[in-house]
Amino acid sequence: MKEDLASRLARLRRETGDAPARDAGSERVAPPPARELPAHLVSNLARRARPDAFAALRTRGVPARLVELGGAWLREERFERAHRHGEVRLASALGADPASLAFVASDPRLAALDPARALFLDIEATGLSGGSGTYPFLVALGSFEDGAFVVRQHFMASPDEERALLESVAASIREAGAMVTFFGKSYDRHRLEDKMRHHRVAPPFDDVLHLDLFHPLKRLYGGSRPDDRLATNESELVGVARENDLPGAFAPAAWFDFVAGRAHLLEEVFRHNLEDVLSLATLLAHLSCAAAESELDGAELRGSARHRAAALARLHERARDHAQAAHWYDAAAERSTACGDVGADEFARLRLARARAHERCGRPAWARAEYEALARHASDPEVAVRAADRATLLATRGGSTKADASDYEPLLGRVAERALGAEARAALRRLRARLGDEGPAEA
Amino acid sequence: MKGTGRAGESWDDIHGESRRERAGDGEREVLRPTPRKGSARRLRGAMSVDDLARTLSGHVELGGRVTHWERIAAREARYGELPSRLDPALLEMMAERGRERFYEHQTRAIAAALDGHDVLVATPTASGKTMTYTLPVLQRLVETGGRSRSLWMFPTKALSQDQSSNLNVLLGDLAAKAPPLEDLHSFTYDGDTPPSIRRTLRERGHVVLTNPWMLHQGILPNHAKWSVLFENLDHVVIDEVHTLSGVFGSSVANVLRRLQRIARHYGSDPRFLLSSATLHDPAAHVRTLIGRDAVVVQEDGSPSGERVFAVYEPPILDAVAGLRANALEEARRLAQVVCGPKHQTIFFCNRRTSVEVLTRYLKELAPRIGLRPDEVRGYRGGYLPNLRREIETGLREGKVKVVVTTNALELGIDVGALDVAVLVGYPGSQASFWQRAGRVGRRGNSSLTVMIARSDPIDQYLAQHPDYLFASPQERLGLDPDNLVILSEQLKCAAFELPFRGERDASGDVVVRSFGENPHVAGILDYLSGEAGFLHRKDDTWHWMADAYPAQDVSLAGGEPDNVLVLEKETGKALGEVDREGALTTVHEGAIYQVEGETWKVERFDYTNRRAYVSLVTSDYFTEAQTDTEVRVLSIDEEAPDARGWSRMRGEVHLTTLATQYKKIRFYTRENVGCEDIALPPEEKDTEAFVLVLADEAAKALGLQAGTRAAAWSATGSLLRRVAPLYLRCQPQDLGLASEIRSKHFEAPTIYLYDRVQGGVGLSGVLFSVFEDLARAARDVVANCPCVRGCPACVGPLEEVGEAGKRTATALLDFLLGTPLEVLTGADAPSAQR
Repeated sequence: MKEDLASRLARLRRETGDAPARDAGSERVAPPPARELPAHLVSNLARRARPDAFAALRTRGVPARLVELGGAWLREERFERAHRHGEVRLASALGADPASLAFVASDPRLAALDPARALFLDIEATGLSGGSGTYPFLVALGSFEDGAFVVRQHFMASPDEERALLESVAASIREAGAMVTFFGKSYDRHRLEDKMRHHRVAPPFDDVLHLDLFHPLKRLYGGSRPDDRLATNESELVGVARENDLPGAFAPAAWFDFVAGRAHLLEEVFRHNLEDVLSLATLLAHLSCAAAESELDGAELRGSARHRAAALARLHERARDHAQAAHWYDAAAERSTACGDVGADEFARLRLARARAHERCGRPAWARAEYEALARHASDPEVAVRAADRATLLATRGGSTKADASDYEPLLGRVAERALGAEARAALRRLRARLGDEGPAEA
Repeated sequence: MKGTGRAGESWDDIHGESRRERAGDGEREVLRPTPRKGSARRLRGAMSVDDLARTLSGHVELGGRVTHWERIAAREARYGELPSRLDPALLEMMAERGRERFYEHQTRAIAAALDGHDVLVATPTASGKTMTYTLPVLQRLVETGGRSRSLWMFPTKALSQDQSSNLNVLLGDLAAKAPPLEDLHSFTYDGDTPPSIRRTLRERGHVVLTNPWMLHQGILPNHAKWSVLFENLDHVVIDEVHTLSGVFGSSVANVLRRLQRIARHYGSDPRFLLSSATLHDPAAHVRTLIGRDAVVVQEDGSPSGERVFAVYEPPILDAVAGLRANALEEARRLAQVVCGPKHQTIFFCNRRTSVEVLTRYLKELAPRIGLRPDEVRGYRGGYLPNLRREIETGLREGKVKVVVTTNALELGIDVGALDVAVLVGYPGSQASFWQRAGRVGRRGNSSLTVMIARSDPIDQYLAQHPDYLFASPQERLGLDPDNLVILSEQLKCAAFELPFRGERDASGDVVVRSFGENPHVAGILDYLSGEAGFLHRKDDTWHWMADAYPAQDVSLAGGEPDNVLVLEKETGKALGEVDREGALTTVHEGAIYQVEGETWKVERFDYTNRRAYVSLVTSDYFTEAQTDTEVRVLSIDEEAPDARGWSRMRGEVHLTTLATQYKKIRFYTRENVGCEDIALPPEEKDTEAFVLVLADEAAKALGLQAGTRAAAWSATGSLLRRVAPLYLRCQPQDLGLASEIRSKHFEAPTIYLYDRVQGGVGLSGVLFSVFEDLARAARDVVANCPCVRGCPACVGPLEEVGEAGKRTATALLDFLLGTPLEVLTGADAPSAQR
């Protein structure tokens, strides 16, 4: 390493004169003379100036332990395999079963993902909206090396180091061949890819396996908690409680302040970024266990068990494994009953799906009884109509030439077609046809 | 080549010769003065344009109202040779489309483009301009084996969609004929492009058709996503560049600077292929627009039949007030003469409501002039794409005999050849006048254009001075990309896209040469780096340094596509669109919304979600809303008081535009059958204004404070607004006007001339500094006007400004220019005598 960042910055500042020089006693170098702008222009521009909302939170200092890497900067953090993030050991990610991951992520290609070689990626950028003026100024890449978890935080100290940073990052991603992110399919990847094209650096992403944890975790637990953000996932599923974490919205200002030579919050951004990557590794471990509900470290798997069971049932249903679907729907129903405070409509929907799974794996009689009960008692017309549709269909298949319309008169009397979703509307039309019903008179 | 007649002369007096020639061919049916047996349709057989003109001229009631006839003789086609290096496959394709010979202007333009020049073709509508940029683009695709890319920009969404379908057929044919090429695609990239196909389009679109807003907010700020396009960008095509003027054009010129900078970043250096209507000094316009010289081709080689023009003045209803009959009503009368089953007539109105009212009139009139109501169609912006396509096809195939439209059909949408154009009012510029007139008389047939002069200052001036209309274009398009506010806003957008690098000039100063030639660029960038905090300067490079997406906040002005959807209340089916500003006055609750003469009543206007719900009604009235704009002064930034009792200022104002009430106006009689209030939130805007305040004593001395005399004050304001573009390089519509005979803020007579763009673009600053010139120009207009007591061409008609209007306005301007008050108030003041 030739020159550390602090001294390089100091030198650069001395040269450009946009911050006080470090040498005691030396005069501030005057910036080149700004041309006289007409008064009306200045007043017009000043009216639209950006307000500074961060003044109170600023601190001073240069990020520590940075080493130069090909024209940009790098900070390396090492965690031994026994290190716990929240309540989960980082090394559990190494035990993740790729087939389970591929299943919960609904992406068969991911069966080839090897957690021991994958990169865990998270970026901090200067804006959420994207576009050419957004800089991905901090890119963390975590990976396992000889059992230890190593996080390399690639950092650019100025916009003209962007290309160098992207080259290092692209090379690492290409070499790893696989990456894990949270919401990265929608955000991180595109920020990097756009900037790589901008700087004519070949983007590596098309040939890289990409597991994005956001969607599978949302599929498993969506609805069981107020939102699906990373912070919510890590606290619920891994037991991480961050202290004094810098909100992501402060990251852009932290970097702008640093670049301009003002006091800044960059150290906090580094810490936040590092924590994010550790969460990626532990959430990966969780996701892999969730697929089979195998337990981590012998402890009970965190997260809402009833949502997870229903989600696994739907995944199996989609994979046309109806026996497994029925098994998980049973579990979901059992857990819902056990937990006691599940709403009637939600439970009715679960029962409908469960009956369908049982019907499909060869238990039509059981399913028909369930459908008939739902058609009579479900208060949600969607569920009632769809259950009645299945019940009458099974009845006609079972030998009755025509379903008994009188059983369903109360139901037909209370549903308004307009209030139904598309699927239930179709079911209602089939049901009416099957019952010989002409439809409501006022239609 | 031109024949000119005096008012009152009949067509035959002037053009007897032409009639004799026609009489010789013996094939044409002669219109009988009195109908015989048979339907109106049969009686109105094929009529030549000459026949129509003669009928109009000899018409008992209408003939005398034509104050001027103009005749431009037929012109033979002039052909040229296409450059020999054009690929044979292209020639073959053209031949298959019946194009074996090319007009001279086309071949010159194509040759210049193939030689790598920027080219502007400034010839009339329908002279085959599309070909002049299409062939060079296709040629380049052949030469590069399909690698070449081009970006085509159209001023409206409708135009780009229209072009896209034609172009795809051409590209398909080309791929089939030139074997190494396969899968050539063109795509329209606009707000309607689904996000799911955007990625494919960015990488695989050989020709991307778009509009200035998408380029500004979508493509340029995300140029990396478009890297394939920019790396291979050979041509930038811009159609109808005469529409790029004023604040809008000045902003677009900067968007083009950004485009060029990004192209350079990706290693390409595209050529500009431009087309426009006939322009005054096209070379200067294009130089300002793209920052370099282009080869200008403006000698039209396409053939033209004889063109006949008539300037028509509605009769005076009230001689004292100078009030003339309603132009729409006159258009309906004219339709009885100029519409028929064997030819096509196009009516141009200046407002959308007029289109609907006239469409309804003509549909009702149809049976009496030998047409079916469905042969009469309306066409305007705001109709849904399918309806527009249907009408365009009907016009091309000749099924639609009469179309009533706005400027929507003025630009190059292909509707084929029409025969008669009626302009209900002067469209506001010579360029528009010729574009509209250019809609008729294709394929070498003769054509008739009738312009109805409204009771409007400019219309009346033109009726008196028709020479102005037929002289070569005099209008300069106001275009000022270096307007400092527009420039600095666009510099923000540009800095977001790529850093700016400065160079040292001879004296060691840092200058930026990559964005036009304004010497302030480096200063603005420094300013944006310092106090404004948008940029960071490191050495001589400025980097974007803010969490913002500047293109989102920077307006191009012009009619931005921010629309209100009009939906049928029962079914939720979309009927049309209204632009946001227009929504306040056209789809408020109770408004009658018209589509092709059908009347729909607005039941509910969901202002927040921009939806208006309408039901079909039978209405014998239409509605007209009134708005009230209130100006509140926020700050006065500069003031130059004159001790003699007036002051000019510049500052920031807040505008509140409120739709106050609407009138129900009966069709035909225009009788007001009711008035209702409109309950809509006001539109608010902060902007800059130039302010003129007169001290009370001066106002009193000049006789300004009472009754109709107050009108002289607002007349002076509108006069200043009209002459302002001479000094601002803007268009009149870029400036708003509010005048108050007693402003609450100043407690004195006040005129505000404000920037119409939110935030302002500095027009008020320029007005402030050139005010004396402006006042002198305004005074010259009044002084040189031959009228006695005011007319629409100067301060306004007598009925508006009152007996003393002209005298008062003149005195006022003289006072502002330094003439002592005592001189002006004396009975023998020189200018009051004029």
